[in-house]
Amino acid sequence: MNGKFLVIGAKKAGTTYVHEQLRTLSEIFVPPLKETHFLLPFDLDRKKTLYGEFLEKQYNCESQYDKQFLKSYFLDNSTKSVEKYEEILSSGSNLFGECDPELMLLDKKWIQQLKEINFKIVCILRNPVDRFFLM
Amino acid sequence: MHSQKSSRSFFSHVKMITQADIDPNKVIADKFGELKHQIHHSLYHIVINAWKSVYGEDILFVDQKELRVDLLTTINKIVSYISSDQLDNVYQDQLISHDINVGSSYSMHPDIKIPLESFFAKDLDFFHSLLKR
Repeated sequence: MNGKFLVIGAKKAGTTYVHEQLRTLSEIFVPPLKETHFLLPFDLDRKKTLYGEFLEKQYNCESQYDKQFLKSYFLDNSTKSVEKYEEILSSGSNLFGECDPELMLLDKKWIQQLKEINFKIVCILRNPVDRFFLM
Repeated sequence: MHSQKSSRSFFSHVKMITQADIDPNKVIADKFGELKHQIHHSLYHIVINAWKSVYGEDILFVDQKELRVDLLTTINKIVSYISSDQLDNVYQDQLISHDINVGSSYSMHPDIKIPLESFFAKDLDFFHSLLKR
């Protein structure tokens, strides 16, 4: 079973909820830490935040994929590329992806490269006006 | 009377910020930055078009309402799409059920709603057209 995917979408549209549901399915790997921001310009800030959360909340990271993900993600200092992103996200599993609303604002050059390596895209939306009552 | 109360409340807020030794300029800048970011997220006709210009019709669009109304069917739709039908159906007992953020219990005042709908007119059209497919 193979496949890679990204769940993008508007903020406050339910991507966290989908992340939680997909985490319960053993055949699919999504990282224990939501929203890596790996391809985004503010990825280093995110990494620091996630590391703090990881230490504080003691995430349940028992599976081999979780452990591999944490090792690759926190120790990675390489130049950004979609191939590296794919490697970190997969952590050895065959069906993997992540859910991150910020990816909706991704630079087009990254979108093109993600398409080239066959990432599937799910986009969760919410009425754009209704969203403003949730800010 | 109402506006007087609102004014007092506003100035009390500024006073509180000042007394707490928080730079009001920073608070305003942060709020403005967040607002700008939120607006950017709602400009569907721009941000989603960037994805569509590369992926064409090959994107699964899901309305957040679907998650609220029928979680199991919606998750199955997503799982089927991302696994190219390789995965069996997900069952109810595999899902985590808790209240999804359903939004404010207040309805939006027309003085706010009408200008917002006007500002996001293209995005609303785009949103409805994407989810009709």
